Amino acid sequence: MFIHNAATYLSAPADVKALKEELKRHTDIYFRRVNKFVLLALIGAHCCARGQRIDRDAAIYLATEHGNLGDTESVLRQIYRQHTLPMPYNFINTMANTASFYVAQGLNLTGRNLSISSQNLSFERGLELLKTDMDLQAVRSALAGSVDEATASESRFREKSGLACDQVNQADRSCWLYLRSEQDGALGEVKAIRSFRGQRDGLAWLAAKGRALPRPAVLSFGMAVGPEEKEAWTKTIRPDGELDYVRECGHLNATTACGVTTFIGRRHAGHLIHVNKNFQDRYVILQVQRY
Amino acid sequence: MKHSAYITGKSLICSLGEDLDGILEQVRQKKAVADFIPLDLARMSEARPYYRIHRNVARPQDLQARFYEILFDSVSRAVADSGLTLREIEGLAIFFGSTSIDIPIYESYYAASDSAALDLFSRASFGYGTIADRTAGHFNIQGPCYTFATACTSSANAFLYAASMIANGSLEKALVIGYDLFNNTGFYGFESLKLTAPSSYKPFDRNRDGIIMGEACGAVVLDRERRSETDFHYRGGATLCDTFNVTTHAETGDVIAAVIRQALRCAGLGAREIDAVKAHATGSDMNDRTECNGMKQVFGDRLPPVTGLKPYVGHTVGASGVVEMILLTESVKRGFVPATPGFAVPDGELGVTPLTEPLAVQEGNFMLNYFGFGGNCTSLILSNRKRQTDVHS
Repeated sequence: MFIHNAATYLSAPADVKALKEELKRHTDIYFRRVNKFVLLALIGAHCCARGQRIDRDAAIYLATEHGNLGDTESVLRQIYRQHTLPMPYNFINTMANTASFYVAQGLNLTGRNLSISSQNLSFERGLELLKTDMDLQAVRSALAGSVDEATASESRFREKSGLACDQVNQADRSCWLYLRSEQDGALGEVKAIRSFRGQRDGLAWLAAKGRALPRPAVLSFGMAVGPEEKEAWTKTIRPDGELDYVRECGHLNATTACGVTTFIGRRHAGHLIHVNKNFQDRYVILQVQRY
Repeated sequence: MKHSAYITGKSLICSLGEDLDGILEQVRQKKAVADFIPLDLARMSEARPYYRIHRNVARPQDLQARFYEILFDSVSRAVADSGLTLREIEGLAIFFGSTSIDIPIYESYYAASDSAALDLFSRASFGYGTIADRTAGHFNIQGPCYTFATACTSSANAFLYAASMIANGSLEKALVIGYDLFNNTGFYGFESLKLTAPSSYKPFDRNRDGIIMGEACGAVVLDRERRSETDFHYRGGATLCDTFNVTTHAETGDVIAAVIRQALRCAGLGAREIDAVKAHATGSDMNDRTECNGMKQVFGDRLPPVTGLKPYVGHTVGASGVVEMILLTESVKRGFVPATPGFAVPDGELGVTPLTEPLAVQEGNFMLNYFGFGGNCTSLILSNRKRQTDVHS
């Protein structure tokens, strides 16, 4: 899977009006009655598609942890507090695949269109599905993105991350890769996506790679990987550097796409080894090369 | 080498019950009954039919407990039916498809609370991936979890990707779940779109007047190895996006025709080799029209027998992929393709007349079509023909 473009859109939590203004910078198409989550998806995907020759049958893999937050709340308020039927567009916008639909419509793409999730590993799982499609020659090119609104709930954030909200930055995020099965003109490549049942298996795999690990190699971690674990991974890999995109970009729910697009955007040739895990201690190691 | 993927275990909990033999006997006899649920939360005097699961749960008022009890029971039965060992269960991957995902749980929190709404929502919803992870934790399943949120094609797509990952050698076994439980967001949401039928289900009928929703949980185990001579296997499938409109597909049915053609190509089959089609057949005016236009583009005037299964269990939205797959394949194992109850008056404009009586069939190639909001179109082809041929991409 060859990376032909990457786009990182991050902002402090913004409202619909501000995001509509931002979207105008990327497309002339006006999207009616879209919510914040849809707008974030559109901004990131259009940034990534800019200047690219996107095949009409390109697929879309939109990974998200929560989908939209605002419209679901609106629908619940209309039903339970206002005792009315929900507004139709609020209801339609509760579904995560509304966002991937508008991305497809805006870019006129009729290929596969998936909205997928996997706690803390959503982007990695999306890439696995894309790899399967490419292996089976069902897909030649795709936009793969990760979209989430900043977590609105401080208590929820604390519960999930174990971190106090004032220790971290929160951001709305939409990070996308444009990938093709052909290498010609590519910026980089997804070299490996490997799942492990625990840290020990992952470390053993990397240790077995030993000297074969390509250099220069930069190491990065998902949000749930703690300091002691980081040390163990670092000792095993002995990286040439660390990419702390979480600190740089804001502390997010699912961060991998942000790390990869940041790495590609830096234009430094080398390899990114990204270590991520979910809350059941299932690990995924993603290896990306920037040419 | 591409591998086959066999359905080696299954279970279904729906409005017809949870014993598969009992469910299928009712299907053979074209029996199905929906409840009526009042629209009183929106201060409306009407009620709408809905196919509810009738099940005695330990704590009926605890909606979270009911949610997981139904889910875990369904998974338990499917895994037991597949005969997997504990070690094999540990190695499963989970493919979960749903439209509502955890909405039934957090809307119950919302209803009971008067605190700041958004904060409560965000705290209650632990993310789309939570349910699959919790299922993995409950059964000590160690493989990866994938949650598909593609509206009414969710669990059909979950199945497509589970079968594809077995086909390309990434996996040996997978658990595919389609689950949507009653929730007011969906019930009142579809009402707001004026898509719900007032009394009875009549897909493809000239007098069709909308969908009737239902709740169900279906689970299947997919395995690279066949377990029994009667196991169905995945022949091929495809999914595409119709960008015409977020709620409706283009009336010409062009993308529906395209996805059916891709599925046939993937299965290595011609249109004439399909023995029956399970249509999506929602009973809404527009869906039935576009679906029939799409089918006619591919099959012309040699349409195979067509059936719609929603009148038995309701439109179970994201769960319908696995739920209707189990209804069809298990019916065929028992010697018939189900009829479409509720259909009475052919619609000349549609040009498709579904089965009005069960059709005696014991084996064949079966097409299962699913369409949904967000332009999603998915077509799957399953077979229980004894002569095994290669699986295509």
